[in-house]
Amino acid sequence: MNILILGAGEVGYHIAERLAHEGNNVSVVDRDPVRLKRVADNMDVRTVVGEASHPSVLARAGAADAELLIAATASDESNMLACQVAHSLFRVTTKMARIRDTDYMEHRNRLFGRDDLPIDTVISPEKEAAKSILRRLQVSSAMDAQEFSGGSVQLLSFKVTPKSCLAGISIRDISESLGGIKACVVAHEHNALWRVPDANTTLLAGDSIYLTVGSAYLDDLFHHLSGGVTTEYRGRRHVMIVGGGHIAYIVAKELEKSGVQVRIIEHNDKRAKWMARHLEHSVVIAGDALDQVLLEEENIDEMDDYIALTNDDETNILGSLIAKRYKVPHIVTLVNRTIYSRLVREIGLDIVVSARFTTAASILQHIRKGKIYGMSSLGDGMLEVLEAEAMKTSAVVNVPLRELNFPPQSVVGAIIRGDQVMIPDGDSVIAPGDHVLMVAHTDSVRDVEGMFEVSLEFF
Amino acid sequence: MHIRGVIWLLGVLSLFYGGSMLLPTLVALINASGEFYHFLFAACLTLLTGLLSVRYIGEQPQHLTHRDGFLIVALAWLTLSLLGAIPFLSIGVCESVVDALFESASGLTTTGATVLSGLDTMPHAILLWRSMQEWLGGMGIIVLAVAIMPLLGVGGMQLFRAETPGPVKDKLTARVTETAKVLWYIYLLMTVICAAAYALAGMNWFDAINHAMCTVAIGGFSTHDASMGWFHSTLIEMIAVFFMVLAGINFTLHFAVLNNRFSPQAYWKDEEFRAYIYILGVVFVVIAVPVWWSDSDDLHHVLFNVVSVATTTGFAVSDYSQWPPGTNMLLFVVMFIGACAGSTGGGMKVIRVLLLFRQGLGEIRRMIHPHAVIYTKLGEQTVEANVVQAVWGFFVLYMVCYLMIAVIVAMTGVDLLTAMSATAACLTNTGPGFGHVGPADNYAALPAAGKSVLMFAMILGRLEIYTFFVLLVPEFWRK
Repeated sequence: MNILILGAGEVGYHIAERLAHEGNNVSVVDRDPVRLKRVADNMDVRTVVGEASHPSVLARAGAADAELLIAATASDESNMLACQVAHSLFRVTTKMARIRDTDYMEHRNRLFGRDDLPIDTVISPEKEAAKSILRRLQVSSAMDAQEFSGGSVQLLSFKVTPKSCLAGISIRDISESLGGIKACVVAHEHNALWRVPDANTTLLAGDSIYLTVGSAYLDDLFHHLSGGVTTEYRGRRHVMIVGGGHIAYIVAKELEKSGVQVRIIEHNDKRAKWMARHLEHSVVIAGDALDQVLLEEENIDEMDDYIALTNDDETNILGSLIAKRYKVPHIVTLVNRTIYSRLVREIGLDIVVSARFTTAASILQHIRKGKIYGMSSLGDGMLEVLEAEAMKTSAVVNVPLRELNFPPQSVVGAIIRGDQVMIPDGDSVIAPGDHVLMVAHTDSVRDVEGMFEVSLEFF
Repeated sequence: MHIRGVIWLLGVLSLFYGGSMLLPTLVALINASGEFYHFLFAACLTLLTGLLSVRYIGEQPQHLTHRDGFLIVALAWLTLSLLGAIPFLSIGVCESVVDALFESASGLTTTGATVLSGLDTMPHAILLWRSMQEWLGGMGIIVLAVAIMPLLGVGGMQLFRAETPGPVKDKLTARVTETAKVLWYIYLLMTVICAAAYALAGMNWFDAINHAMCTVAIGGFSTHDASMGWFHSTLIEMIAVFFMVLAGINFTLHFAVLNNRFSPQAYWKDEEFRAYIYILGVVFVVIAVPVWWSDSDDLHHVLFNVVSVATTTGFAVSDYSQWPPGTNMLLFVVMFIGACAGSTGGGMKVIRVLLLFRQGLGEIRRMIHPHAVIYTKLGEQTVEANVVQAVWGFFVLYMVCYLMIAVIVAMTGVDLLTAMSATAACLTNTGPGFGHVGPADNYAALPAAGKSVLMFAMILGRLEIYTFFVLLVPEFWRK
């Protein structure tokens, strides 16, 4: 497929890499030749220097043959205009644009459409990242929680602590040690390496796991797992956010709504003022996030959560380590570079959100429309989750799971039949029309898609 | 400074004012009473002044600076107070020039402090003229002129800004003429509905119209010595309470609600409105409890008097000086808060008090978080630092003016309570105070010197100090 990506920033770079890796013809446009050179050096794509919305630039980048346009420059207006140009002059079939301003987003339904601004899908990376951070704050003892199939299935992440009832248990016996709750471990991390476990894998203290469970059993599960991991909030919850970027703004705004007391430390004076103007109850502090005096002045030791969201990975990691030393129970660290996200786990920080993975996952989800409904990435982007519909003609239907030949490193996490959620074992059978939640290693995703006879469809 | 332009504009305003005097003249003619000639004389004199200024002395200004705006507004209020006093003096209801001027200024500034007694038997023309003065002064006669005369459009905003109360002044529409028109339409509509409600509740038409004009203007003149108490009707009192509260709300907010398909939620979203309603509610409860406990008055009288004083209207249904001590002190304090900015009410305005309060809270937060960036906010809006500073300045000037005037009034030979409360009642444009100027008495007994100073206080309060004080600074007059 011919894909045109506008903007070679953090988001554009990562999408390009991902799509090129999957065998598409990708062209990347940016006005900064230096950034483009980095793209050209690292992946097999065409690069064009120029203003993203100019017709001549788009023509040079091959807009006439492109089937998909992803406008991911830093400017909302450029992105919208580029989509319009691509629509009117080049008849590009599918257009996605990154829009960050909430003012535009509020009117997205009436603003974007066939007869209005021709944008098929609006993506907003900061919002995705913020959503994933908020998700992690909501489920306090789990490190990550994602909902599938309209909320009936939960995908939860835990760290196996030495005292936990899961330590030393093999996957085979997991239901037993959880008091009979049906749960399926779909991902397992050991020494910063994520894998899809088999039945003989043994969980060790310090490992992290993802497991699927029916939403109805969520409370029971937490009850069983509450081995010192849960945090009880007495009175008001206090959250410290370091860095005042767009993600921090969305997170703070949402937290304010649920009555959380938020403190934001922002280095840049101008940005701190902007935040103070636009947030209602949060306290915005202009200062250095690593300044010990400042942190103690703001009672870092009494915070319930610490979220590091600056643009600088190093500051985030160091800040989180400081917060850990002050015994903040819950720490979320934003990390952009792949090399760090593995490192961070090794130095003992539990919760990491990588902005680019959340974004890339949501874009890929839109691209893989058709019979795949939900899509997101797990474990530093090493694994992916898919929610797919089993068609009548598919090979997976009407055969017990143990007899199916699944690609390596893939597992069925849940089968959803109507309102019913089944956590499968070897004897389970997928019926036509069932929704299947699968977790697979990135290398196996294409084969898994093949099993469900999913072609890359648009519309 | 453009003196001939200023004179021209004052002339135009005099023409308006003279024209409006023809209405009581007509009433006098219909009633076939002797005041006809006096009113005709006053109207002719005013019209003549206007005509002379417009045709011969003045010259239509091409451009108004904001300095011109201040000068015109301040001079206009003095001139119109002067011209409006002519009927009182010529008919002879007022004994002295000072009394006539006091009555006229009290009307125009919507204070409602009176030196007249025997209102029940007074000729209709005079009563109507008093109410009309309040009504014209309520929304501002200059705003009216801006609304009617498109040729004022250019400098209109300067005049508009100098006359309307409040710390921040917004244009509701693209053109200032339209904004002024909108404000007057809402004002007129409110007056008509109020008059109809009064009439339906049992007032005769003459009383209904007069009281409607004085209610919606937050003035407080009545056609009876016993004020609203004369009617002995709870229904009428409650109608008055409703319209006093309504007229005390920012007219910009009324406009927003009318423009938004009558959705009353828009009121509640406004922080100043919420504060205004809470203040009224809390003051009512705090006063109602001791009054009910000591059984000194009916609760609906308490409600009426509290709303009347807190919105700075000044109607009375019963003598609140008979209430338990302490309640009067509270009334005295809420008088200073007054109504919302951009309304017809007086006082320092709720929004200013709210802003100062917020600023104070912000300072406390700053002690807890020494490095925090803290802004004073109203709703989701950040209030700019210069606005907050202007409000502080206003607060200090207001209080200094109050204390100085109170001292001067006391020096003219008035007792302490009367001097303090009369000054407060005039500066905040409320009307009745406590002591010898309480709701059961009037200002007639005060010495002439005291009345002159209070007259000045009324205009100072109506124009919110700055507009007037700017004229006293030498820099203002320098080229």
